[in-house]
Amino acid sequence: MDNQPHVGLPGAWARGVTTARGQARVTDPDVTGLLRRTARGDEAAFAQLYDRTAARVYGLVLRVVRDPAQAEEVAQEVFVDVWRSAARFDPGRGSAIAWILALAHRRAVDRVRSSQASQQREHRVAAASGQVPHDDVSEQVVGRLEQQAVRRCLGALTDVQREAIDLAYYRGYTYRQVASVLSVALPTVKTRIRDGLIRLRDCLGVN
Amino acid sequence: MPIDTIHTLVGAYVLDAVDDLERPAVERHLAGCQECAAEVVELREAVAQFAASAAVEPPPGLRNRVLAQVARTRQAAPGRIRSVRVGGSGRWHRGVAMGVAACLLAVGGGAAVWSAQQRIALEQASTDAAEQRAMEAERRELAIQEVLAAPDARVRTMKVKGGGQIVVVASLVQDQAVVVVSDLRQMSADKTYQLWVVEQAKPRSAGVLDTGTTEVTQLVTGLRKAQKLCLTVEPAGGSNQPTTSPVVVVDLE
Repeated sequence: MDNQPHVGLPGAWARGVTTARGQARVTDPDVTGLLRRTARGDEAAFAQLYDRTAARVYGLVLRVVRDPAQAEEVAQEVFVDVWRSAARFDPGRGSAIAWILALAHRRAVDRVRSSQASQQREHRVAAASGQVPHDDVSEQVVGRLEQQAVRRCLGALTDVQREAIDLAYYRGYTYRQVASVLSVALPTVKTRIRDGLIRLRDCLGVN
Repeated sequence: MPIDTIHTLVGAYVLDAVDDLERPAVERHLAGCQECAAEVVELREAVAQFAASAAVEPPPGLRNRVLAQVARTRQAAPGRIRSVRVGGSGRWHRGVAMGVAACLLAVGGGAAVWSAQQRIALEQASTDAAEQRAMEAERRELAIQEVLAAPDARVRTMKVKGGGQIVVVASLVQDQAVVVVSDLRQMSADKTYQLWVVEQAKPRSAGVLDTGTTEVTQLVTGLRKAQKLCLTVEPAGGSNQPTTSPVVVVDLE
């Protein structure tokens, strides 16, 4: 099955491209094509798709579930899910990579919420010992154009917008939990999240 | 939920920061609002870039495990999950009986029981037909949650003649109801229970209970013009029209 050469460089998960406006963009023209071939049952295309997206899928899942062993399990479920439901991808509703990462995030959040009680215990332990686990993860990710762009764009958000998005996306909190953690009203949290994402979208030059 | 409230949830929806009751509400809203759906697509792209900044090389063994599992995994057919309209010849599916209090206060708990059942169904699924049924179960589960969460939901509870009770949670806005029947008297093998929606004095079947079943949770659609829901005892396999007088009649008006 794995008789195709690996595509690109090790960790070839994205090419950073600078647009006319000086904004870094992730471009994966091949991911869509590979996903379409995957939908036709092409296992070699799927293997390439894995190589192109595994770091992003695993990194996102790890960031949400924290535990490497569980992250590996969830990432495996995600890729099997991608294989199984590839034919249901609708290019009219966004890019292939956004579709894959949305699947990955949803699975990771499901995992976190199903074990939320123990998750909360871990947070308390982490807080008590002064550790912030996701910083460890962040440190592993260096020198990527997207990361710089994202960091720059995150800098354009207000503190509450940034914190709300971070808690919701990387901790798997519902907006109600975010509101409670940040001690702000529910409508405020909903608005902050949406405004923050719109600002992020505009800054990253998504169109 | 008012439209503007739903619309402000779009950001939280994109981040999966809504709960299982809000998600279908947002999705229903998106289905009818192109502008909102476009916003979701754009925000998802932004979030994908945001997510990419968390990239970490996975452990080397993962690749082979994924490829090995994929090699023995069937792919789903293209197309969206077809919409399921229960009624007519649609059969009832075994479900979990819940009391009124359980319906209203423990929607989350009910949902958990449903997903446990669905997981069991999924584990048994090995054919396309089984997968279809699992997807239908999932759809029904979402629809049931929607009804239970509907602001206009009204609950009616009635005793069933001969034993058991029926609980109907109906939302006219959504044009559907969740019907929970429990503790029915066990019928002999040649008889079964059948549910009817009565519209202008004309009954139409809303599902036949499997023989021997004494409890069921059923989603019934197309209620706007209906006046009553009835349960009757019929020959096994069900009838085209009721052949006995109802063991319970629930007024919908």
